Amino acid sequence: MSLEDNQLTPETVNNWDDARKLLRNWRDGNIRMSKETLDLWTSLIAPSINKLGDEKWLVYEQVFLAALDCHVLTIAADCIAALKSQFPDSSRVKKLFGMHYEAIQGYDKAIDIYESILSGDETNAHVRKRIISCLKSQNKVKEYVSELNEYLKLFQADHEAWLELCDAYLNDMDFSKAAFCLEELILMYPHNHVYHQRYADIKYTQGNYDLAKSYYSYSLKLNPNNVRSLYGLLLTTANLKSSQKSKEGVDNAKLNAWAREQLDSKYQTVKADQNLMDSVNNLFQSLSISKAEKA
Amino acid sequence: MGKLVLSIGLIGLCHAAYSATQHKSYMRLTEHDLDSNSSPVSSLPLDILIQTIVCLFLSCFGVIQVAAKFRPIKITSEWEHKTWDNVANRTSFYSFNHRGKYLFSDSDNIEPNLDDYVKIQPKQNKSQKPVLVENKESDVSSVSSSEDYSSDEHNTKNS
Repeated sequence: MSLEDNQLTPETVNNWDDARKLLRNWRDGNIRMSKETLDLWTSLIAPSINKLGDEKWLVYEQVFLAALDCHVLTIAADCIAALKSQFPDSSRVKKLFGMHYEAIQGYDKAIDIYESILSGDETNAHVRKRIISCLKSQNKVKEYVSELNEYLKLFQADHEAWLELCDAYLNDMDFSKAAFCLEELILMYPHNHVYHQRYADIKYTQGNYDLAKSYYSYSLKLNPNNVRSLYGLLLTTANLKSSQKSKEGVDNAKLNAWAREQLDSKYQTVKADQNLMDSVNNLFQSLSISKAEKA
Repeated sequence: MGKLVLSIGLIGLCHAAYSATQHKSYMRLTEHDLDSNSSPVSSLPLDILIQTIVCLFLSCFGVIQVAAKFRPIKITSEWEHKTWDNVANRTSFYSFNHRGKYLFSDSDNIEPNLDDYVKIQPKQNKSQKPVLVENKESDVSSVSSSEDYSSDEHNTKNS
């Protein structure tokens, strides 16, 4: 009996068809659950791999990456052998070989493979990105950032690379440049609440509470279920309460109260246990704001 | 099921079109007056009309079944259930240099790359412990793995 798509979890899966659907969900949703992927592979999928039809090559690639994540090199070797026998001349399979070398820390060999692919085809964006991640894994921060910038001059619409650059600047505590990267992303995907919330996080860290508050509010307008934005709104209004004139203070108080109600109802729906509720209530009390005094 | 409905709908449409052309040639053959608006025979017969419309709806229904599921029209609804953890996963930039190697691997002999951390003196017995240059591991683990390294050194010297 097959379950609905959103009910599938690794625990409830017990036949290869459901396992295949679950893997497809993870593939499409960019979800990186490597250990569970390998468990599903060994228990359900590998015995009936031929029933998957053309999807099996995608599954091989997915399981290969999961095996590299968990460093189970036997499964990785199986998958790459199957892929190589089917697609002997493919640059995508060559890239996977390169990733294998990266996983066993043979970065020089990996970069050689990537350079050879690039010499055959200069426009291959994936391989350029792998070279950049080799630099990241080796902790060569300066070259990593400069290579990423060079890459972005060529491929300006690559949202993954902008996110990567944003994270790199955040690791370096360079918040203004990280904010710039996120602004580019927001321009590309203006309806994505996650980018707005992240931008608001960076502005909050920089101390710009007003801007953070407006971005948190916008992210909540796009998606009222974003709990990080609710907390963000709570904290920004709590921080703004002290330095406001009376009218804005009242507005902030209302927003704060509203955010708190939303968070309360969210915790109710999840049926959190009493310890969690106590600590959450204490947190809210310490952040509570009184009515603003008249200036 | 969708494919069946779609094929029935399309075949019905083709049949209705063929019947309509046949009716037109019949009209021309029997030399009815095509200009008169009142003659009931000159307009398309009712059954062909009904067949066309019904097969149109059947084909629409079939196409919807065969093609992908409907998605909600609000553009934000596609992003509503995504969390930062999954949106931030940059699949092209995956790095494998993380603790998954040590947590989930099934082989017991992951070379822990201690060469940078532990310098071993060249001639030593099993009883002698090696000199630790930069001790980044905890003391217990470095002692146990150093014994392995010293026994390897010993074996390679003998062989």
